[in-house]
Amino acid sequence: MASKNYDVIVIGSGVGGMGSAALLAKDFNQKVLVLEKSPFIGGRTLSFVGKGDKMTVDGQEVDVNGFKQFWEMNSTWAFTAPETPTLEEIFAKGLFDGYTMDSGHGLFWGNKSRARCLLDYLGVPVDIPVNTGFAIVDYFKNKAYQVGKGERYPWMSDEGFTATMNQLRDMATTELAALPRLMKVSLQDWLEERDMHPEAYDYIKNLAGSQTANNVPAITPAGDFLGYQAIARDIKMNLVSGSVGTISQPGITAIPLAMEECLNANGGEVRRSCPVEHTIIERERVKGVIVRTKRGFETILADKIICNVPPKMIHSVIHPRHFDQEWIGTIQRFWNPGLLSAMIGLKRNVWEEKGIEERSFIYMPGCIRKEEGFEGGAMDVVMWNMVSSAGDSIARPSICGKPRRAQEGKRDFCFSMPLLGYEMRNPEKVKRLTEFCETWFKRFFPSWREDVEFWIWTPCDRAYGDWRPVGTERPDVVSPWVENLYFVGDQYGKRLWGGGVDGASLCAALTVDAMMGTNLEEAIFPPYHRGIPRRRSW
Amino acid sequence: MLKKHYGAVIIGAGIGGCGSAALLAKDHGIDVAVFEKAPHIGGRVASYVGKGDKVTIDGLELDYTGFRKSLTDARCWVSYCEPDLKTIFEKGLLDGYTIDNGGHGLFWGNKSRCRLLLDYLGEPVDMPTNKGLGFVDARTNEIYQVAPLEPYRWMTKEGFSAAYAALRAMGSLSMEQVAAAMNLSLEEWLDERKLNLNEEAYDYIKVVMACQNAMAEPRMAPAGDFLGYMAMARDIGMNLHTGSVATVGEPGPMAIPLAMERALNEAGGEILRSTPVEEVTIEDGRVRGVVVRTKENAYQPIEAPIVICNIPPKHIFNVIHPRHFPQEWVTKIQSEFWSPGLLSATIALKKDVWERYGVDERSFIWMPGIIKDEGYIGAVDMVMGNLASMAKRAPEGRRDFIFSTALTDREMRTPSKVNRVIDYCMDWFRRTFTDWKENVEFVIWTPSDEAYGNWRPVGTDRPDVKSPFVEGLYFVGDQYGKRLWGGGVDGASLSAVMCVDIITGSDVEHNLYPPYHQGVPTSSSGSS
Repeated sequence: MASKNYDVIVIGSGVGGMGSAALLAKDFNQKVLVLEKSPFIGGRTLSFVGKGDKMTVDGQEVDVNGFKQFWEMNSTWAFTAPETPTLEEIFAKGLFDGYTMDSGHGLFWGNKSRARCLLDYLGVPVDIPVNTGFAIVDYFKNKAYQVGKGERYPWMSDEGFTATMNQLRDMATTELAALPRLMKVSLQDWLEERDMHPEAYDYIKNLAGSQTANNVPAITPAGDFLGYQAIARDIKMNLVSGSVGTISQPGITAIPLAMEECLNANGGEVRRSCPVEHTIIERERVKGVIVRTKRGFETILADKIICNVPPKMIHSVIHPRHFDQEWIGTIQRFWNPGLLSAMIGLKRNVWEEKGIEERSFIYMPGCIRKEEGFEGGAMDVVMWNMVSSAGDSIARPSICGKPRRAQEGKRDFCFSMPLLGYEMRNPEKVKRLTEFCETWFKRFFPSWREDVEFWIWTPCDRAYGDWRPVGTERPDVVSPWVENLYFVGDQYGKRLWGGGVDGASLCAALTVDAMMGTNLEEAIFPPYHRGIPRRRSW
Repeated sequence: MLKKHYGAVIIGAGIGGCGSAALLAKDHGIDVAVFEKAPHIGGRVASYVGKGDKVTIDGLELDYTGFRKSLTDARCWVSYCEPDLKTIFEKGLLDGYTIDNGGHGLFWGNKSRCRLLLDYLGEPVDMPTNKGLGFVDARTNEIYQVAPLEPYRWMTKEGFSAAYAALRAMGSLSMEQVAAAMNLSLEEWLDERKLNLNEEAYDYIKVVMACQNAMAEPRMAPAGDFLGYMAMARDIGMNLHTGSVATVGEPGPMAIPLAMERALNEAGGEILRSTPVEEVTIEDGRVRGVVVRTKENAYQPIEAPIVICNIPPKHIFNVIHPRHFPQEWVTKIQSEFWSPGLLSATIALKKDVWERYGVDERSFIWMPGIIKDEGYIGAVDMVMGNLASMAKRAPEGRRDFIFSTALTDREMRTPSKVNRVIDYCMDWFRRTFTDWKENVEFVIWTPSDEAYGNWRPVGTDRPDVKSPFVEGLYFVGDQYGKRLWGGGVDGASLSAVMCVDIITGSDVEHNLYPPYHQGVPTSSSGSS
């Protein structure tokens, strides 16, 4: 059993893990090893590229079994819509050839995002183009409208629209300094205090749903959503432009791959298919890890360990005895926002005949009524077209020189809606939504049989990391109980707000700063992207 | 070698997994494969034999890193050693000793459910038990042998007769009455009968329960699980003087799963070690098989119409996604199930240290009430024993010395509570055996926070051996089976039989086991 010494071991190669590893190697000359249990890196940023009758992921070819298994590793499962080819047929016929498919479809802010700032700082930029245009589908009238900037939303009344705009303006003046206080109230309480127009209330609730993958205001910490609203003006993000970012081939996995490029160039290393089985902690101080390799168990020693595993799962690599028992109880009550998404492969642009610019972010509100018992009340569907949003952009030449996310002329169509993790695990609720979307789609696009090549649903019950209950702080990036143990990921950090890839990117900087006593946070991110301001000490 | 299709796939090679696999293959000719994620089989039954500066388990040689990792696979860890673990290994101090992981409690020895199952499989394993009962009074440090039928000296006359009355009440229960008591806590059951009024008797009952259920708090213990043991004590001739602790000679309790594997292999089945199941494939509410990760790190789908999951309840979601179960059930298992833990030590000795106190070294030795009013959930009592005197488990002339006590999983994960018990015991040991410096070769404390499977809260049924939610999915292990009672190796053996009976329609349970070893009757379950 060979022992090798590293300065830092990172458990897990998600965006937080890769980001912090790359920063430590590049800026601090640390000897860093990232250990990834899966055969691919990136954690929940997983993307597949079709290649004949196979798909490639992070340089490996997978068949239909590998495809299913890789999704499972992302807390996601895949199935096809009725009357469309089965997964086995999609593979056998090579229907996926040339397409790119992502897990979790929400990159915000595109090239203005925290993720992009971090990639730029690491010297490995990735192009993240965004939607251009905003469209609405009125489900009840079976019509679609393109919404011009500043135009009244056609489904709203005049009063409702005015109230909504006033409310958005009001939220945009929220200061980041107010976030600590706003973190302790639920979005529901915050909205109710304002006694707003019902249309505005619904609109804001849905906006929160598309940003935090959680459309249940009663359990959303207000600060996590209001932070986004506070920076909307600075960043010029709105529904017409910048609300959805995407990445050309090979998809969002380009982000961790770019980070690996930086890590490797600075002497670091990522080991795939190398699960950490046990973290060695002696006298409340980390010593190293035991990994399972093809040859057996291997001990790897390190001075410091960063754990890039979501809170509810850390006990599979670190025994709970190393934490306060109360804390473990709290963590077990953490919950997950889920995303129900579909990717449809299309032979042509189906939006054209509806007068909709295909690069739009398309929104179909209130289609399933609140009486149906979904936690989020009325359900809304968002749709977009990643192939056209990515256009001819090239993600990063060293990772993939090829533009586009589909073969010439082809398109994709994404459905996405937030659902709580436990609702996602209820097949009836998932079925209600998938059938709703299928029925609507077939009615709205009568020529669907000729246009659709395949239709894959991918429900995910942990689209973000594990969320804390309102009033509880996020676990911090430094373990208060074990010396030299750190955490990174989209839900770690007392000063973190937001989540997903951008949360993880900020957290990577927060973790490295906590470890090295630096302030990369300011060096990498503009003020509106930084963490919640520190409490001033007098 | 790995095939694409099996008649049944078993996930996990614990006693329940190995036992059910062997039964399916031997009695029913089913083509069975068991997938075990760890490099050794047995689950929480892990025992090690020292060989020079290594230990061996299931054909593997481990150094101190491998040993530490292997303990983790068996759900325990090393918290305190003398000398440090690395030195113990490097100096070869373990050479010739057999040491068990945290769980030292095989009951009933050759009269156990486990032994009967092994006999049935044609692979008997000898399980010698204690002979005699020793007592240590923690207040006065008086140490003596307790003769059978003699009143317990540490009790007053009233205390002893109250304790005896309680034992009689418990010992005369029928299995129907045991079943009816499953939804009560032991506290409620005793209270209804006013059997908890005498403090000495009450403490005694708690301690007897702690030895049997690895848990010491009557409010958390389903009464039926404990009363089942008491009800059968007469039939089986088990009492504290004989049969309350059993052991297995070299290679230790590992011999049990290994014997089951021989029966399985003979019937054409196989166990694949270091081959974790990554996912159970379920389609349209029915199992299709599993996906395993092979030693080459490839994902291999395997078809099977029957999948038996031998994983404790709280851990099943690692291989079966929670979407296949009702959310209420998932939440209950995750937030309300808990585990009894065992805090044990093995001390290697150069000679019999009990002789000078007139205690027969083959005794089960008991030191109740060592730590009081310090905020532990149950009473902290220590049991001690000398496994090497019962079976060949040490080099010629050498002995071992076992400490063992039951703490809850929460307590076991609180280092200050664990250390308090260890410090107490080590201090008592040094005080009592004053020549310890010459006699002690090593000390290894191994806390385990899941010594038994995950216990349900009082009033909840155990998960059944057949999933009501997924067709073709079964569970086996020491906490599965609506009609199961008890736990540990014996619970797992009964669960294995119940699981195979329900799959194949056989009735091994009633053919193999005497009435006192069978599950509780269904009819009265839950009606109290």
